[in-house]
Amino acid sequence: MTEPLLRMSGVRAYYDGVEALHGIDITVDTGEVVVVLGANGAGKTTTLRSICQLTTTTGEIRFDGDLISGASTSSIVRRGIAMVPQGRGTLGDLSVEDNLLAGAVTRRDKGVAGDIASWYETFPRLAQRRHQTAGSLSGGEQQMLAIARALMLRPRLLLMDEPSLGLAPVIVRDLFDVLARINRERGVAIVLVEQNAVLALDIAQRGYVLEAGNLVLSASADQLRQDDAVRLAYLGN
Amino acid sequence: MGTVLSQAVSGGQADLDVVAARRRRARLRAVLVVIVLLAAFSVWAVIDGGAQLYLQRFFDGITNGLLYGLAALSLVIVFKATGIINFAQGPMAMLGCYLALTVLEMWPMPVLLAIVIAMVVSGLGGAVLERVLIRPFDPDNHMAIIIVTLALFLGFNALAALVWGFRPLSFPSPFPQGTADAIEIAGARLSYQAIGTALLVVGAVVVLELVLNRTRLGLSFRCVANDVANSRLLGIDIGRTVQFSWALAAAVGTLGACLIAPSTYVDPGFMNKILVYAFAAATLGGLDSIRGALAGGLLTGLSVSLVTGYLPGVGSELGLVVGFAMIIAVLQFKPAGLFGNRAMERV
Ligand SMILES: Nc1ncnc2c1ncn2[C@@H]1O[C@H](COP(=O)(O)OP(=O)(O)OP(=O)(O)O)[C@@H](O)[C@H]1O
Ligand SMILES: [Mg+2]
Repeated sequence: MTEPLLRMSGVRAYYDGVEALHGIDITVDTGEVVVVLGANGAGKTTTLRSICQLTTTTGEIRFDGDLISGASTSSIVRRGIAMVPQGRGTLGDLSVEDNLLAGAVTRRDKGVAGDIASWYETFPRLAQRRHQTAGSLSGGEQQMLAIARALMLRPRLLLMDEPSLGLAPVIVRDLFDVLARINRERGVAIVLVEQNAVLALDIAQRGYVLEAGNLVLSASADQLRQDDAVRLAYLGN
Repeated sequence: MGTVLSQAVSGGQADLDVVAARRRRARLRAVLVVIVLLAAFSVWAVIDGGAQLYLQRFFDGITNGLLYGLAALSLVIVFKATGIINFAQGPMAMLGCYLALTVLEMWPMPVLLAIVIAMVVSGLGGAVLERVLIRPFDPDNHMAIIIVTLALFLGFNALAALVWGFRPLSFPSPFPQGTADAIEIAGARLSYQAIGTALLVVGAVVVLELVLNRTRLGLSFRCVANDVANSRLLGIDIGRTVQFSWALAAAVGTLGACLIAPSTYVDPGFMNKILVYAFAAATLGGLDSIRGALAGGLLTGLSVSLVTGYLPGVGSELGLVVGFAMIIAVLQFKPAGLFGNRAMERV
């Protein structure tokens, strides 16, 4: 068995000494899309924050075989983990173009300008608004910018926290198409935290269900779609 | 549920736009009020004392104002990155000025070169200071860091007194300073010294803007100034970026002190008075705005020059009072300043 891209073993997370995750095990393989489902407050955001070491954690987190639990957030990001936080995480005072440049601020190669051009091709709306501040974009445009910004890092793993939140259903569909394409064409593995389980399970191979800080289910996307509890709680039928 | 959320969030976006527009209008109104006040005062001044005297006061005000603006900039740079006012900025600049003097004394060289050397050394010193005394503290614990900067304020004053003594020293101007070295405009004198200083300040600001807008560190700085949590997720090393802001501020502060010193004198406390004007400039312009700091400096310089020059009973020794009055007025009526977005809430 080959080592997965990401392996979390017995990870507990704490906010001011209060335990929010009670020892969870998650793996993500190279190029895989994994969805994380759970009610409000279940610990989905905390799981993503743990991977980037934005919260205090115990337990073991390995990326590409290397131990990253205990490392600094900036060094983890530099290894190739990009996160789009809940609420988008664009830099509102900076222009669209500067946001994209900021996404690549740790890169030392010559491909940055080319990458920006290719994102403008993917999202022409961003090209039109390149000199506008990110804060003046609509919600959908900001989400596009957040994704492009995260991928400017050329990550191997993308962590997405509820990207559909606050977007019109049409835009959400487009968004998931883009995510699927990024995964397919660039081989970027994605951990997708979503309330919109129908769409998320469409592009995911596997999924986990979190409940009050514990993993209660780990299964393939197909199995999750069939699961009665999941259908009742997240698929609305 | 999805649509409800979407309405809620897009509603929030619209609110944001409305707030931004309202803020822009309020800003415009405040700037207009200030300009109208200054203009009215100017008209009265010209009628009262004639155009020549007014022009002289105006030139003095602009020159001083640019220097106050530069000093304010050194406060703004650190504030933008950390949300903290570095109370030791004045003494740091004072030390940089002494350093330039000492360099000049040991190796004869053009004054400008000595200033540049002092700026570089100050920048390194600022970086070391941040690493050793500031970074060990939790960046969100503003009170602790502010107390450290207050301690540095006292420590640096004592250090300078110990090394250089209290005797006021004169600082050579990098520009010709004779009585003939001036141009005359409508009878008012505009010295080469004033023109050169103004050009240097403008040049320094242009360089600063280039550094912040065109370099990798500058981009990191603008990210951190915008949002620390998101900057971390970009892989930015927050500590290093804050360190960069301290270095930059120290260098800018030293330049300001060295340009102010020729028209005053150098002693351990000489920057403290300037710092009051710098605070006035920074609060007026908004603590988080670079252009605001400069505009605030100009407004402060002009106000002080005009008020002390014209109002009967307010002599030049009362300039500081004018500075304090401006700080209090701004904090009272417009705590975020004319151009800033962030109020000085914690200090
Ligand atoms: N900054 C914080 N300080 C203290 N407790 C927190 C903090 N953030 C989250 N928690 C707690 O940790 C638990 C998990 O929160 P988390 O944000 O991970 O949930 P979530 O699954 O992402 O929920 P949602 O769907 O609402 O985004 C909750 O009980 C929450 O109250
Ligand atoms: Mg969440």
